[in-house]
Formats: sequence, C-alpha cells, structure tokens
Amino acid sequence: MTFRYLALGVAAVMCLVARTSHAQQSYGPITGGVLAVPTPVISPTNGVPLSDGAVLHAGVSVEGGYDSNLFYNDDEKVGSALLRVNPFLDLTNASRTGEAPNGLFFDLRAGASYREYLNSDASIRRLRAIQPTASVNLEHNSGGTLVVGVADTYARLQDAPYTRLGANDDLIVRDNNLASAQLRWSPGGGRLQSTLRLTNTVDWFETAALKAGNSMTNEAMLDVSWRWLPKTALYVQVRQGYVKYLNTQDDSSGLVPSSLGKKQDSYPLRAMVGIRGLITEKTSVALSVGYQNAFYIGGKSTTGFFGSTLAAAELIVMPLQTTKLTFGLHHDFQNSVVGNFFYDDGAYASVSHQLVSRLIAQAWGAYDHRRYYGLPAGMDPRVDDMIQATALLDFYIRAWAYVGASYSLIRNRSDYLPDQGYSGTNYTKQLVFGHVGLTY
Amino acid sequence: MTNQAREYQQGMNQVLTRIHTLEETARRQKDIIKLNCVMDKEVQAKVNVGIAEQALTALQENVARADEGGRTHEFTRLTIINQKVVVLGAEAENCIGEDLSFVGATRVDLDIDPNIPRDDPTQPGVPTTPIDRPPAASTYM
Repeated sequence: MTFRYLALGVAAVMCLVARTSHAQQSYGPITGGVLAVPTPVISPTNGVPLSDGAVLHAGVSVEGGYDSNLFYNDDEKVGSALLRVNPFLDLTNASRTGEAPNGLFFDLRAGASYREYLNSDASIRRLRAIQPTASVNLEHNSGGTLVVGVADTYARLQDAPYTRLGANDDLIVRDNNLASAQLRWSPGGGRLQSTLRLTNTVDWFETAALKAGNSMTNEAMLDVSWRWLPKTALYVQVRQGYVKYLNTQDDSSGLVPSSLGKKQDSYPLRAMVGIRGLITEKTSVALSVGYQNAFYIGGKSTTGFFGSTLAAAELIVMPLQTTKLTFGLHHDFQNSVVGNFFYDDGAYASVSHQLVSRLIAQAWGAYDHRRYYGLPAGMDPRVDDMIQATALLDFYIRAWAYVGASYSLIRNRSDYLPDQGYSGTNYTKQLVFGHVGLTY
Repeated sequence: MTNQAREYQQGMNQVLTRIHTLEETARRQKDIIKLNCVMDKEVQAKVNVGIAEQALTALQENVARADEGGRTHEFTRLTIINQKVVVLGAEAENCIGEDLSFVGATRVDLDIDPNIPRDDPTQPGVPTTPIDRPPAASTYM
C-alpha cells in the first residue's frame, strides 16, 4: 500500500513532466515508508542516440541529509547524517516527445543506490548499503488494436534491523521481483477494451528471522471496459491470485500463531465494477466497489460485510495546466508478511505545482488505519495507524542539472507494545535531504 | 517532426505504388498515349522520392545533433517534395482518366483540445508491489 501512495505522488507530477523539458526526479520503491532508491525521471529531450530510435540516458544524484530515527524506535531514538549516491542508466526507443513509438517499444533501466552513514558508531555504520534495481519493459503495439507487453522489475532493499544491538540485529535484506505479461485488445474504434494480465511476484528475505515469509504470488487479471466517452470508461475487473509461501519448513514462530506452525497460502479474489476517466476537462475520477475474499487455507481470513467489500475513490483536479491536486480514499485488504493479512482503510492527498519554468514543488501525504489478523497469540488483532508525508522542491539549473531539497515523515502508532528496545511499533521518523543531480 | 516526416515518406511510397498500378492498367489497355503520360509522372515521382529519402536522413541527423535550424529546413524540403508527389499522383490519375473515381485512402484528422490530458485515464493501473517494512510482531523479531 505504501508503494501505491508513492506512485500517487509520482503520478501527480507526471503531467508536469510532459510539459517541461527539464529532467525530473521521482522516488520508489520504499521500505518502511523510507525513500530507499531515488530514481530520477528522465527528460526525453536529453540522451545519447545510439541508433535510429534508441537513446541512452544516464545520470547520477548525490544526496546529503539526516535521518532522525534509524531504527524505527521512539524508545531509543538514534539519528545520523547520511550520504546517498544514486547512478542509473536507461536505454529506450521512446520518441523525443516521450511518446512510445508504433510497433516495438522498449525501456531497459538499471540503477543503484549507495548509502553511507556519516557516524563513528559501528552499529550505525553497518547500515550502509548498496541497493541495486533493474527493470525491463517491452511492448508491441499493432495500430492500437492489439498491444502485447511484458515487464520485469527487480529491487534489492536493505533496511535497519529490529534491534540496534543484541538479538535480532540482522539487517532486513529483501529481494523483490515483479514480472508481468499483458494483452490488451481494442477492436473497432476502441470503445470496448479488454486487458488480460498475468503477474508473478517473488518476495524473498535474506534475513533469517523472516525467511518463513518468503513468498511467490501469481495473479490473473481480466479487465473489460466500455468507453462511453473518449476518455471515460465503465469497467468490470476480476483478479484471482495465489499466494504461496516458499519456506514452510523455516521457523515462523514470530510471524503466525504457534497452532498454525507455518505461513498460510491463500487464493485472494477481487471483483469490482467502477468508472475511471475524465468527467470534465480538468477533473477525473476513479471510483470502484466490489467483492473481496482472501481465502486463506488456514487461520484467519477476511469475513463479514465490510471485510468482503472493497472500495476506492479518487478525485484528480487540474485547476491550472501546471497544477495537479489528488484526493483519495480506499478500503481493502493486503497479504502480510506478519500474520495473515491486514485490512487497510486509508486516505491520501497530493499536490504538485510548477512555480516557474524551472522550479517544481510537490507534496503528498497518506493516512492508513491497518488491522492485522492471524498474528501470534496475544497480539491478534493488532491495529496500527500510520501517517506518511513527503515534500520536494527541485530547481533545474539546466535541462540536465538540478538541485533540490526534500523532507519526509513517517509516523506509526500501534496498540501492540512489546518490551522496550524493539522497533516497528510506535515511532516517528523524519528525513531531510539536500540533493544535486545530473541527468542526460 | 520525425514521425510526420515518416508519414510523408509512407504516403509518397503509396503514391508511387498507385502510379505503378496505373502504368499496368495502361499497358493492359495497350494505350500508348496513356502509358507515356503515366510513365512520365512515375519518373518524376521516383526522383522526388529519392530526394525525400536524402532529406529524411538529413533530418534525422539534424535531430540527433539538436540542430534546430537544419531540422526545420529539412522538414520544409520534405513537405514541399511531398506536395509535389501528391500532385504527380493526381496527374497520373488524370492520365488514365480515373481521377474522379479514385479519391485515395480515407484520412481522418483528429484535433484534441490541448487542455485535455494526453494520457489515457481509462486504462487499468500498472501492477505494483507493496514493499512495506514488516512490522515487529513479537519479541521474537
């Protein structure tokens, strides 16, 4: 869910990206609400042409800042200055206007984020990390009638351990790979449109205490929409997933009740109807409501009327060409590494604005009310309230060089309060960064 | 600009193909006057298409060099050549006498209000993975 909010924040500035020739910066993915791998958005007007159509982009950003709560623990707040260096390469055949060409489109990207803590404490310096990312996106468009695409995104993330010293002080190291194949069919004038998508997600923990949470998720999605206006559609969507835990022999005593003994596979089903698209020239909505069921083979699962109902509403307003406002609400459930799942009731908002041609400001915030089920005895259910917010300001000195600053906040409050010294329950974390970057 | 130039090139090639078809028609009719007329247009059209290919190559080079002036110049050349080839195609139709019956492929020009967002909001969202830090769920972890 956290990533969704991040994507929202990024999406809020995409309209500005299309209108400015300057390089921009977006962020993702994140862990624990902390921006982990900053990935600059590339201006399509830059780049080195390698052949007819293929353009190579490259860039690097350097960030210096301060993290107020490295270990997500208000009982033992430890802060430190840190430095991040984020290089990337991108090869694509998108046009100079940023549009995908007819026929074959490709976008290959590789990047990394190196994080170094400017601190003399060895227990802090060991949090240093190199976090690589890579993605491939291939798409073939047959005149808009038939579009076939495959994509893959990989990220390796490292985050602070649950305790600073002593037991459970292993870094949380996680490999995540998301692969998808999609077929979109728009016969005739494109009024009716069908999308069939298969996704495969591997979530792999290298940390011993979390290995029982290693999982593979396969999901099939069928989306049929009817465009009753050129940019407005009514749709029906069905998603059937299969979540399989890969290390059922590993110790899962910290993740699920002892009576279950291991993480439980599930067959999550979501079926919804809704509307998405423009309702006026400057206003678009996305409304959906439907049925959901987690179908866990053991332990607790979604139940009741509200537990079986999913709903989402989003409103986007563009009062000016350079300003975008987004508001959203949602109620759904997510599979969880800890326990079986959590209900997620949330609200979010974002604003982005291009102040002058080279100064871009963005801000987004989100609130989540999460109810975890299927946890070990004594803490089930657990309720967390999480607030996340980020503000960014970038100034483009040239089309290929920028400076900026960012502020991020993540605050969690939980009704589960274990012994002091353990993180991840009640914490407030703030990050402040100044950055400079080059992209071409 | 490059996309438009490629469209011009495709259009000119289609005109050439059509002129070739008209030439075959004239041959079948064994009408030497029509055949000479069409072949005259075909030769002129071929020359212009050759020039257009050179202009397109030059245009791409100027785009790569970010030479705004050169790019505009080559695109203007291409536009003029395209107009010439279209006129030659129409004249070739006149040679056979089919100008009134052949109107060419249907072309749809679409003007979109610049205030309307360019992206398509009717598409389903792209798949994403929630990457949350797993919350501490016990004193075990």
